[in-house]
Amino acid sequence: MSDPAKPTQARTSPMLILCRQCVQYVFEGTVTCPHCGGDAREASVRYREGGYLGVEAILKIERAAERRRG
Amino acid sequence: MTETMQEDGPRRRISLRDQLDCVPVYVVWETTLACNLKCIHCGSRAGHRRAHELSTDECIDVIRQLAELGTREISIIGGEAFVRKDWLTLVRAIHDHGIDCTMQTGGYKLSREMIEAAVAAGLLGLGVSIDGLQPLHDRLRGVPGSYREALRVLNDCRSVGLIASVNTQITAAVMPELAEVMDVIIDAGAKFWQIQLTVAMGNAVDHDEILLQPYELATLMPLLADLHRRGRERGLLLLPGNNIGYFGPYEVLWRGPDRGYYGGCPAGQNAIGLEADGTIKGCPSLATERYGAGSVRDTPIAELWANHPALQFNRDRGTEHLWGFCRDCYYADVCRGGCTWTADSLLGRRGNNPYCHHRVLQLAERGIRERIVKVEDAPALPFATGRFALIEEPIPLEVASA
Repeated sequence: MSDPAKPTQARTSPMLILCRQCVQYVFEGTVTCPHCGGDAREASVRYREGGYLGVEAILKIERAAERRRG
Repeated sequence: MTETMQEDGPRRRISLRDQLDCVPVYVVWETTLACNLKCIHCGSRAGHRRAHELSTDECIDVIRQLAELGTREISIIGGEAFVRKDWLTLVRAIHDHGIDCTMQTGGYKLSREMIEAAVAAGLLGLGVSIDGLQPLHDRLRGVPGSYREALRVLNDCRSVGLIASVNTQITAAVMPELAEVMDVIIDAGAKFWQIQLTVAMGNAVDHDEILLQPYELATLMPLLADLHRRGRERGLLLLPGNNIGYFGPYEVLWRGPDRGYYGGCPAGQNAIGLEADGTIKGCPSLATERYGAGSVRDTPIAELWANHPALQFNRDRGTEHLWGFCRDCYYADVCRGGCTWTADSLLGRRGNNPYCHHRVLQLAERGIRERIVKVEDAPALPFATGRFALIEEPIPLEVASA
């Protein structure tokens, strides 16, 4: 039986990632970016030189660790 | 009045576990409605204390309960929090319960000695309101000399070693002054600058000429992006408040990439607002009439937090409440209409928020813009809302060509 003084577990929203072309947010799994029309998976020069690939890697590790803890 | 959700420090960061378990990580607490300023944009219409504000003992019990629920930061506000005679006792009690304590203030008559005493009691950070250069700030805050005092408080914080941030309300009048405001607050020692749109609530409804028009985001957002970049180079971090957004070309600049992105209104899921008489809400700024969830004086907070419907509305992350443009927006599932306070106060119902950069840009592609017109005044009560009509119109040719 659930504890009446404890909130029922909440839900989470779908995950967003950055389009590797225009650096705007798109839903995970997006192929064609709705903002720029480019391939959201293909890293542009701006994306590479902006250091976003590194940030992406760190976020993936953090999320995986969080899922394991959860 | 409330200027909430300050800098995104590590303890403030909301984890997946926090979201799923509905941990009230962040609490904004109006400890008194008494205030020594007379702000014409004040949503809570602060000035006099409420009839039955919580006693010192009741406040300490509230802090104990919040600590048990996992709260990690309490920001005390007003009114003006330091007008309460026991404010340092409350700061110390928050600190002693292992919770970070911050305070938002207008700074008027907050002496250096008081700041030192607050630091000794455990205050970790102070947010000071500065809403423009001197003439505009003093006019908005309703007290001549309040600008000078706010700057003096920033300088005192620097000399005392207390982290100081600045909160600025974005009104229609402040846009041309923002760059100069930034220079002033950097010189005064601020390290964080939180920007928040003035919301159509309380006194701001009486003075609706100060409200930004939604279409003005087309000008404001590139300006803020520019200030963000220039501020960073000079050691000042411009932070968007909950009603600055959403998504669009600058989201990654001020919310990401490593700190995430706007994840929807946290009210009632990871945030609590408390009024001085013990009324609990999901966010301190929400209209009491529609979002008040009873009193912590009558019912344990854990019980209200777990069961009261007025605190539950965000927890299923649903989109059924969305209407107007927001209903069919690309970001609907994540953004969910943005800041509940902003949309609900303006249109009497949450889920459709015209103060959105993505929306402004999308509409502009169709040659359309939105403006608001007041159709109903707000009652003379704290957190009272009026009613505004949302007008869709063609972008005037001279604006479009510019």
